[in-house]
Amino acid sequence: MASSSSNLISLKTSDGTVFKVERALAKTMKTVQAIIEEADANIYMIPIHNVFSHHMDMIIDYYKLSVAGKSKEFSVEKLDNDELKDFLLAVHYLNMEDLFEVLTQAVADRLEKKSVGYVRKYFGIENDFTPEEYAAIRKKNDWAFKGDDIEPEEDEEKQEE
Amino acid sequence: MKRKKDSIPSPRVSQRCNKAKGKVVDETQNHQLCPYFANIPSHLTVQILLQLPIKSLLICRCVCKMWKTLISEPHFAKSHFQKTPVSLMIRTNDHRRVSSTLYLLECEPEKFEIGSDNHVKLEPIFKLPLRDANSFGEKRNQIKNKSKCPLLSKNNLCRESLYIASKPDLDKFGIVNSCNGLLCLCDPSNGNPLVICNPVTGEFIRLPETTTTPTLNTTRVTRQQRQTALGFLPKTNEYKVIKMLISNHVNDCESVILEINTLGTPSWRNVEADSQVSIPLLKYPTCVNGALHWIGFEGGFAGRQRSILCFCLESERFQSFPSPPQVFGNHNNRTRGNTKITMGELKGFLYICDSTFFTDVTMWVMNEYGNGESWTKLYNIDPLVSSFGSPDPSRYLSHYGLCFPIKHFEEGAAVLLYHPCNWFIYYEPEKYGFKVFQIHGSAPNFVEIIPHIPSLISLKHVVKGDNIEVQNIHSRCAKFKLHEENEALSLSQPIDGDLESLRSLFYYDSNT
Repeated sequence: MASSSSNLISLKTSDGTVFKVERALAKTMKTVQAIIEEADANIYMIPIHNVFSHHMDMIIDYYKLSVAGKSKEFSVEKLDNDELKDFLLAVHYLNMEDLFEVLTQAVADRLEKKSVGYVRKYFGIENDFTPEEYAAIRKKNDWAFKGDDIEPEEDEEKQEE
Repeated sequence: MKRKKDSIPSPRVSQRCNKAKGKVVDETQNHQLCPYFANIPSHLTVQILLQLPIKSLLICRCVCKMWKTLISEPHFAKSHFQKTPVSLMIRTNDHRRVSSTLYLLECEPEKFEIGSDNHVKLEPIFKLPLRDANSFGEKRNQIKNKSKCPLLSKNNLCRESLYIASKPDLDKFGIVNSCNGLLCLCDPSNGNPLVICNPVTGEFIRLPETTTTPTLNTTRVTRQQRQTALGFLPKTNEYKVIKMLISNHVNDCESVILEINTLGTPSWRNVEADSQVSIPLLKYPTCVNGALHWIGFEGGFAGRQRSILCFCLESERFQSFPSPPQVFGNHNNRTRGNTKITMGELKGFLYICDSTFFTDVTMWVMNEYGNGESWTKLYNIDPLVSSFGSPDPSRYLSHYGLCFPIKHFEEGAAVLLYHPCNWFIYYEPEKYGFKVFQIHGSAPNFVEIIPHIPSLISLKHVVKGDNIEVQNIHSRCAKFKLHEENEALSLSQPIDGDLESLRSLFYYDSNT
């Protein structure tokens, strides 16, 4: 099937790789779409900062699955937390709604029912509650901490110091 | 979504980033360079938090001050609420006791796979406030003043404790309805609405006292009906409680006293009710699309004429509403009069569940609000029932009891059936088939079930201004224990959910 160059958009990732993607895929990237629309003449190559070739590989995978109606089969389980964070930021930069929601859901799944300490570590957040404040807010939301499926607090003793 | 042009990490970052999971890194110096989650802008954090279920969100509220603020924001609560699936609130229904504990049953089918030997404890979510908190306050002071004074418990055991005897008549609340994440509580003896609460946040407000209303018609009253409901008007973001006293008089006249309280205002307003509208016996108040709806039973529950009564919260007027003719039309005259029609709301859609004929439980949904033609039969649970055998179901299955749709059919239909002996059948044909489980309490008693969508919507944002005090259950009543609070509800799955076992469960051999 002959494909004229106008059906493919060239995207250049931060590590210098050029990907030729279908216009339809480029359309799902609102950032890219805006660049195309703003340009007076035909654009030949669009640089996408903050996106690496391994991100583009996954983006293309997702696109192919969703076109085939199998978007539920897309999984980011094999990515560790740092890779997932990078990917999420890349997709956020490109402004791709559907994939963004899939990734935020994936992060949420990893946080679900984890302890306060775990969430803090994951996000690199320091606890800025005083022990009294923490005790008060913990008591208010006590119900959420109970249940067999909730991870117990490892550092709860530290809070009471 | 904003495009991020700033804070773009440099390419060399990906080689530097440590692959260890959950590594704690001090971010303050590397602000511009490392794309760790510590650095993601708050609107991204919000997007992630919005995908979390409520329990995890409450845990996240304790992470740090900024997150507490993010999660407590009204806009966040509203967006999150729209994604939260329907759950069920369960309360034990023993009339001898005051049950102030609500349990939340989340309809996650994976949770129902308990295995035949296990019991999974249901965690109590909320203690309802006590109706007469002042008298409890006095008792509390008694305890404080006399440090070792034993308090007589309900069973007459003397012990030093904070157990307080409670009287169901005086202390128990009835639950009227759940609307947009809030519950309306009333005095069960007369239906008078008293408290609005959010069980998840623990907040509650007491509704203003009733002012004496003038009697409109002094002829003798033959029948009186009190109706209460809590409704939500999205247009103005207001909650309104309506109270009606409908009196039928000897001379065939009907007088209606209608009062409305917009949540946050200190008093009830008298509203003129349309005298043209005749109000039958009402049940199942449901708020959809800024209007309250009831099923009206003409001639009582055994009567055959049914209709839907609609009260618009914006205009504060009754208006006509199309009912599903197929359901409300010609019923065969069942002498038993097992009219089991319930109405409710699922994600903005009005539904009616007809389990009048126990061989044929049907669910109807109004696909297009206000359009009578759009009443659509969602599914017919006949195959479910007929597979339970029994040549004459009426002898063994008094009736299925209540039926709650959990998921809209577009997402894959799922429904929860409740049999009055505390059996639940979760039925999601496409994914899970049947899951049967039972709820046990310490005493054999029935449970009251209220479909409810848990929300973080804070009453402080609902109640604008300083007129009404928003109280919190945790600060006030936490120290008190009612005897009922020793009860524990647990889920069990006595049998595996395959069809054969289900059949043996519900099919009683007439010869035995």
